[in-house]
Amino acid sequence: MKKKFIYVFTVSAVLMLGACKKGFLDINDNPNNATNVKPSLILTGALNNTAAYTTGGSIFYSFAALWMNYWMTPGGVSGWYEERSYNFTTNWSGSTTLWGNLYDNLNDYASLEKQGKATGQNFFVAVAKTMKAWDYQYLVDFYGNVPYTQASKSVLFLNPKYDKGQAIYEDLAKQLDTAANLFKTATVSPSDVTADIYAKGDVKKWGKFANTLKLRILLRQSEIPGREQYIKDEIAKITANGFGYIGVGEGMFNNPGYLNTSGKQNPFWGVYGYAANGDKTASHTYMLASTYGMDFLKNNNDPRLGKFYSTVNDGAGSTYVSLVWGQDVNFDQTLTTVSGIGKGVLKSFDQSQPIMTDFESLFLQAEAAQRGYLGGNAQANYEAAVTANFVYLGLKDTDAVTYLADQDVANWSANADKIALIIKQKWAAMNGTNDIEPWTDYRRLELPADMPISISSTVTTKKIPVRMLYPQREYNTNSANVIAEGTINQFTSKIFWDVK
Amino acid sequence: MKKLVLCLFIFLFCGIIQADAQSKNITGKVVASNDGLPLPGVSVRVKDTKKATSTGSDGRFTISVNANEVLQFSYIGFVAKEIAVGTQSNLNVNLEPDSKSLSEVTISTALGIKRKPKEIGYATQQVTGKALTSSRPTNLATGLSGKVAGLQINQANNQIDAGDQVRVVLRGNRSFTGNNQALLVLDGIIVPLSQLNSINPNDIDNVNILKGANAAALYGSDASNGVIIVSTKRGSSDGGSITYTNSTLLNRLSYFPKLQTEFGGGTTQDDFGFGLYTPFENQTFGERFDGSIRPLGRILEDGTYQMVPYTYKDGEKESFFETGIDEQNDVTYSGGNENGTTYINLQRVNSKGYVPGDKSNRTAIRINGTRKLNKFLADYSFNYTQRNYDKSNNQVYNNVINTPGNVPLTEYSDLNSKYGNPNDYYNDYYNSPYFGLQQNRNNERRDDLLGNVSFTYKPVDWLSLMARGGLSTKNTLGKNKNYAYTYSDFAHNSGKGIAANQYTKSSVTDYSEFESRYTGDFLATATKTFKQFKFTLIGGAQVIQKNYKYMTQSGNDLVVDNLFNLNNRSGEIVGSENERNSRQLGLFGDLTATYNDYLTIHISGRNDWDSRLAKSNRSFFYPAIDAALTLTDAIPALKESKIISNLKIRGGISKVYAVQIDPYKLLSTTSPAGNFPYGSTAGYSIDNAVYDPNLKPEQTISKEIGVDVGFLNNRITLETSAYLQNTKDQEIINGIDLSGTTGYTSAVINTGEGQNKGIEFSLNAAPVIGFSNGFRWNVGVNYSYNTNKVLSLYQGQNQLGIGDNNYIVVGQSFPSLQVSSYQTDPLGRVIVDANTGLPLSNPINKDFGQTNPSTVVGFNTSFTFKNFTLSGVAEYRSGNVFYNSFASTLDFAGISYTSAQAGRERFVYPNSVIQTSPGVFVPNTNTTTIQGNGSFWADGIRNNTASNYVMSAAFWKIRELSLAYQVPTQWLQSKAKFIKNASIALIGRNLFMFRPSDNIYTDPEINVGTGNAQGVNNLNQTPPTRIYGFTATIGF
Repeated sequence: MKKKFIYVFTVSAVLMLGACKKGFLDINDNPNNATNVKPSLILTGALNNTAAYTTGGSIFYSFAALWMNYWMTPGGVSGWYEERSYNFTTNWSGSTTLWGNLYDNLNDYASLEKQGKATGQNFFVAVAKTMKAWDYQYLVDFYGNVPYTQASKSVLFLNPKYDKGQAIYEDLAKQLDTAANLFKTATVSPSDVTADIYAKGDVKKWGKFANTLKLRILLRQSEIPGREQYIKDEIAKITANGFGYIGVGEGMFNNPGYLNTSGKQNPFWGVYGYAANGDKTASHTYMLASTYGMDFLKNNNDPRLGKFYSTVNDGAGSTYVSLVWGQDVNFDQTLTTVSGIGKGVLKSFDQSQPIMTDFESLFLQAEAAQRGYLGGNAQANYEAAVTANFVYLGLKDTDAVTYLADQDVANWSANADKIALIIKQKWAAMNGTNDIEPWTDYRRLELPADMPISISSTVTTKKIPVRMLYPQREYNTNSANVIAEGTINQFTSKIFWDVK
Repeated sequence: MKKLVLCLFIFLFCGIIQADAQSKNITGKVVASNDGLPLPGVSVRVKDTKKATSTGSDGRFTISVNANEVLQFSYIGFVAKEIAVGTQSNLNVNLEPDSKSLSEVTISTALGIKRKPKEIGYATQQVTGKALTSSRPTNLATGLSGKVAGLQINQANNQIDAGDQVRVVLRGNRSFTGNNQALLVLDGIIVPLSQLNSINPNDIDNVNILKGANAAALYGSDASNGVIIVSTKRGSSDGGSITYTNSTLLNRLSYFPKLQTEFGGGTTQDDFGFGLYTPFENQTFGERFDGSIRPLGRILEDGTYQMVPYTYKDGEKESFFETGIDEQNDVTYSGGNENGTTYINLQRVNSKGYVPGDKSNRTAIRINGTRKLNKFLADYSFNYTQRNYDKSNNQVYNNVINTPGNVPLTEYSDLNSKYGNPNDYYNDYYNSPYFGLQQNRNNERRDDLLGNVSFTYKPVDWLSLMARGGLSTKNTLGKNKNYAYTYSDFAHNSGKGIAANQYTKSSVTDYSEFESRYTGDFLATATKTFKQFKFTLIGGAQVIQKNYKYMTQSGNDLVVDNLFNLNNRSGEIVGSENERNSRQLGLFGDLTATYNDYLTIHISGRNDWDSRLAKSNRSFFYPAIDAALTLTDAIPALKESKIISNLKIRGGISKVYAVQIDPYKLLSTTSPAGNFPYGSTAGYSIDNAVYDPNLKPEQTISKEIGVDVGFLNNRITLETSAYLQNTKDQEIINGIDLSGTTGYTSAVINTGEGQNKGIEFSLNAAPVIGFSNGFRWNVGVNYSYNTNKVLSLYQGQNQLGIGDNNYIVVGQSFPSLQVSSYQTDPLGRVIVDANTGLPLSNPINKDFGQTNPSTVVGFNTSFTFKNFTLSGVAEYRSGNVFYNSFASTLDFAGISYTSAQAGRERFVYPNSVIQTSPGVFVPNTNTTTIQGNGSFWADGIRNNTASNYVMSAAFWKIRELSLAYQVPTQWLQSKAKFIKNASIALIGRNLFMFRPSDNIYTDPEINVGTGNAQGVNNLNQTPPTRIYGFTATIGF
């Protein structure tokens, strides 16, 4: 009997182990998610995310549009306290959103670069380097010193150390040189052309974008004493690759084929425009015209008024009303009685999302030429920039010619301080396509000099913040490194290029 | 209820008619010979017949019998006795305690193997079905609270479907982030812990808790957290009986946060900072109540206003929550003979939630049975449960809280009434909670099927072979419905915030979830005795397969309003799917050697193969050893002791490997980026979790020792244990929180090592006091102290986050709570800004200590006199903190008690200092906060600083109180013969709670979930309730 028992037991045991050998346990292949996809799919996803996370995302407008006096929001006890008072914490969305999104985005570009290198597809490598520079520039501009050399390395560095903002900027310039040179020789396989939703595989366009981005990085450092020679040397390298800069009609846009479905609209439209069913979004109804921004157009006979702002609902179709930034708002001061966001920037649910517009590039070139960094005519670039902005908004270039000629606030020769003119007009033009750049110019140059401060009673420091705070999540997950950066104050802890 | 009373009458009436007078009735009383106390529940049967009864609580019995027959008396722990009836009509019976009694009791241990307590070298604790159901819990988990030392049960929520939201932990946390919850074994088969909610408490014969990893090496990895072994009733083998039970329980709000009663609705302030009244505001930063009659809400279309007294309306928010009702009806048949038994239970529960409009029902059938055929024994049990829910998934608590104190909230319950309709509801920004409940609803049906069949073959006396198959499946089908609504033109044009979008279209989400687990066991048991040695050798094999699938599809902007079908959508269907499959194999051996019936050594070993790990890590072996020595048997001097009746010492050590992760957690994945695809354009992005392809199983080494002592013939028993558990290569379920700069936000890696230790005492006296008139007082005390510590972390890290503000910190107990706080000086005083008087926020988190209680004391007692039993269970927990994240909304809404403490004026922040130069802090005596109204309480610095809402989670709770009345058996015998027993009980659960005075918010047991991260609540959990009602049982 014992033998029988042992026999039964052994047989069943052998059967089970046998089953084990035959793959009984080999059922751990993921049926839910791909563990590996071809680089072109990552390329498309990452490019679209960059658009949604930066120029198309609410984080590029939610506070900067208010601080730059394009829009204002009603107050009340709890509405937009941080934006209206400039008092915010490490938990505020302004502090947390960009950080989380861009490091997520950077991981995709890091993977794209790695896969591109492994397979010798230099186009992917060059795009990845360019877009990493784009993301890191904004990280530095928001936060100053951030993880760079040890970032995006997965569990190799669980607690990436922080690198100096300036060191990161310098490396970005080098990376962009490498990228531009790769674009010169890179080939794009026909099957990958559609995956490039920015430029459809046009390497020349990418080369210009990389160069313009580098120019922006260099111009940021204009106020640092003793930096001029470095900037000029670096510009020489740009010139050497021969691509030049983004010119009229050559702006970089994203469009994956936006649909009028919730979540699939142009991201700016989805936040500040209309829901798929045609209703105004909540954020649309909350954003009202700011007096400083509107008066600049109203007082100078600027035809862009009706493009940047909507008319009030009085039946006339021509009444524009604004509110002073930070004022307390009565309950009947809503979009019905006050102007909101205009249809020059809210064009349609499938409008291509500007990444870098031609007018931004032309303003950069104008400033660089004016400073003597670039050859070329500062005035021509400046006037082309204003004109390109008119065209983007749906106005005629002849409207711009009239405006540039007739209005003192725009006329080149009527203004002695050319830098102030360029920056003021750049501020006017960027409304609704990238509101972070004017905030950054303001921090760098304190221009436009008369930018009003919020008059809200909750303001305790009458100053526009010079940075964002590190997000709370860093204090939670990378605490030793972020604490080593010291106490951060949004009014005094400046970014390295902010020396004024 | 009416039905029940009717039934009772009919049965009583029939009983009276049928009472048969021809046989001789004999009455009597059974007492214990040693103390003369009456013995309740003694089985009294007429030899060689099916006639039987049992003694009542006073030891009395009545039975009809012929003079030539013999009565048999038997009772566990006592020597059975036979008495010839003869001419006697009144019997006084003395039963002798059986010194060997303990050896007769067996305990179901791992895999349903029955062992004598003497042979068990680890801590176990048994709860009988009766003790469990004395207060009629509707689910098993709550019925176990406070009754077992070292067992901690948290009811995280008490909404209508909250039965699943129970956390069950034995001996604290071992794993940082992996599963620490006990394994649930139902009739020998492992089933998901969520099944605790679908086991009918009335079906339970007994629950046996194996507390440590030692107890359970035979169940494999899953058992390293201890095991709850539930045995359901088999039919009784002495004829058939039918029992009907009704219990009706009411569920009422017990604790509401403390609110301010001084100020009304408003958000703006005058030039001097005093709040202004706004009639349509949700925030409560308006003027002080003055009793005047004021308009509430905007002007109505007919030009009038709703006018209400501007004064605090007491109890409005509390009254929003209704009285919930659970009505449960059970019919049970139990019967059989020596060849087989059958147990059938039918159950129906109808529930109405305390959130208005929520309701659910549960219908269950259980069939258990055994069948003997020569050398074969078949044992089976099947349980089918269907549950249906109709509930709102609107965050109704938020809408309730955002209601100023002057608002007559409950008057708006009719959505068609003049002021209750959504167009004219006073609030501009928040929906009427009644409207919210109607607009967002969920319907769900869950079907559970549990079953197992086992065949045992005993070819010879000493060998038994068993094959068993078990199955547990759970099917869920659900629909989320968001209803359409169109605001009137008037409301839309009035500027009313919530009416800004005039027409909200309806939307629908369908989902389905399937979960199954198949278990196959093969077990051979050989028992042999050689002289003083007894050996039991078990060899076995086990196969487990788990499958899971979840699917969901949503459609927005439905074309025809409120036709909740995906075909009725406009736009695309949004859907997703998730599937998980895993398999495990185990081979094990287990040897028990007993010498002279008092020394037992038990050795076991098991090898597992698990599909979730890579090939090289998939196989692992783990052994266990324990020993038990009964000194009262081993030492002759002790054997004679009149005082000490049992003295057992035991100890054990075991190693267990556990795979904590879900399948597919070895390779990083990619998913469609953002909202891709856009038409035919696809785009992917790397997901946020990083994995270790060489992940190892988590290893726990447990050591425990214990002493069990019985005094006065085991009238008083004391069970003690001490344990030490070290868990290394800690595995993560959802991953540790990573800095996003790594490219990922979580990592599933072997993380570090932790240590967990504690002691347990369980003292029971039955009875403490007993009189011959039948009065008995029983007391049981369960005490446990548990503490744990993080020994090391991955890459020398100092701390890791596991979500919900819970952290694993080296050198501290885990998890501990860390939240943002104010800057403080070295003396702990809050630093305020010298100009604004406002506290300065500190992004560096402050550690507040552990979120699990270290000390848990359970206290249960019962008084029995005549046919009445009064019993109660109390529980104390302390040593932990909790974070009331929902209280931030109370401050935001201006409804919190605290927000009115300074009279809504500027104030000097209490116990604050001003930094005059670096490191120099001067007490702040006169710099007041720059704002005192809503701008202070609702705008960031107060309500975004989480430390304001952290406090001790200690409490004393009266978990249960019940008063039961047993209809005297003699009375039934004479008046309603075919009713074997009848009883009725009044029950209360969670009647009282005592907590520290600074906890003005809620019950600390309420929690966001049942994971390892504890001690955090939010607005998704509605306030706690107390439960009371009655239950009536009739047995035929």
